[in-house]
Amino acid sequence: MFKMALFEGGLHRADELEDLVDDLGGFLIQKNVTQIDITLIIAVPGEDYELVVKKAKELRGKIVEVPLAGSEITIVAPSLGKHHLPHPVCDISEYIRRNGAVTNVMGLARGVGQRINQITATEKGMIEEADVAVYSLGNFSRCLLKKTHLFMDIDIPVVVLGGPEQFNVQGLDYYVGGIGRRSQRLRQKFDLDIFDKMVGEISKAVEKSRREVEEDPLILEPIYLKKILEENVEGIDKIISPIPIVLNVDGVKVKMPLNQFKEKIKNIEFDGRKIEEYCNIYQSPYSGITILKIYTKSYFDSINK
Amino acid sequence: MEIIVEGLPEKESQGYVVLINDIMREFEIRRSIEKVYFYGDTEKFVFITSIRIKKVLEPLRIEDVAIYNQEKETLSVEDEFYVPKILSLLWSIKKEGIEQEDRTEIKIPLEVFNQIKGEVVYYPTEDLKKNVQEAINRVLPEAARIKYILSAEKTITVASSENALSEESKKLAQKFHERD
Repeated sequence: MFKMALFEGGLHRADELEDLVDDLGGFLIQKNVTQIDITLIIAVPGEDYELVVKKAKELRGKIVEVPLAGSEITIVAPSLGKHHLPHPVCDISEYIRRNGAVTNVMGLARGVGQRINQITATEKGMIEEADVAVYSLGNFSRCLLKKTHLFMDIDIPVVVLGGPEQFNVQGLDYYVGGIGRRSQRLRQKFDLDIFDKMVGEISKAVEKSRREVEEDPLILEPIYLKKILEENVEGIDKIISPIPIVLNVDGVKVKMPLNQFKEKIKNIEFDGRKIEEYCNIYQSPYSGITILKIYTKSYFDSINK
Repeated sequence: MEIIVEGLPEKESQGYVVLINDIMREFEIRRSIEKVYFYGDTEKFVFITSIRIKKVLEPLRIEDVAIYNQEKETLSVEDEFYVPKILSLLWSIKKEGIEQEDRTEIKIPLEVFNQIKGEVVYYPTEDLKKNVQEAINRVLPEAARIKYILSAEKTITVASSENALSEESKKLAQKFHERD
């Protein structure tokens, strides 16, 4: 079992930690270099985790376990107006990123109001490309009740954030109160306590997705697929995006158009099979990036019979 | 600054008090405001915000913000903020002989200075009212785009909804507007 951790420290000698992770059979999920600082999200075998902690201490860096690493979360705001951004939506996004997830922020075109709010099929499709959706709604419980159709038909686990302490609706499993409309940065102690609670709920939602996948396991772990692509696909290191390959619970996303990507993976083989035989590869109709959904064992067996 | 929230359950009222406080701080108008009334009816989706300004400030004239040196025929402006306003006023009258020598120094012939020294360059209350209006728009829910605005010397009241505003709501807004 892998343990996910976030390392923050200086750039000097950080490659020693990268080498150690590699030697232990672990993976580097994400790497961000900012001037002389480096942030690494790593996955290491649980039994060797202490070695990594020891190394991080030696490098005078900070290492923390991150429960959300390896997942992609979309934060949905009713709109992209000043009423919702930058506070609280960007603060929520930042806190989730600090817990290892890759985040997308999305504003609905008509998500505001009681009577006039609505969601389009395109918006639903975009939200469902992630592993978990986090909805940041407002202060009024009556308004929240009128907006349930915005998140009830979404096919991925949904976490709702709102002002009221309690919000019970049938079909909604995860709710965190106390984060409604805010106009100042959320950095007070009680805000951070609510954020911790929020991360707890999101972890449960991610765990639910993972459990669903485990019922019919994937033929290849997304983290292995990421490594295969990184080592063999030419041009991935030249993608300008800070995270060229995004890990999902059931696959990966490569920020490259499909026609370019298909050309490059034509001759790549892993364990005697081509990459195309392991996963369904298609282009996102919304963002144009390539999505690889790994086949489940039962599906893989059925197509090979 | 006093914030009074009405029509909402206690918890939601507390949330709105914090929100209004933060918005007023963001717009840097907390010290200029005496009272904020917020009324919310989530069933009918009608929201009213009424703001009382503390003090109405006098308009500032050129002689209030700058000193004229008759020997050098130079106008020294106290604050850079007023320079573009003064220059635009001067250039609307005459361009010849008027020259900005430094960031806050303007060369003006004496007869031109005598002509314009009583002109108003800045209306602080107008500026404050603009900010108050912006702050009210931020306090009100985003969907409440249909607005009914009442404005007096020291008070601005806005009633808003996502539906057409009823006469009853307008009367309620009037009541908040006239309240102490």
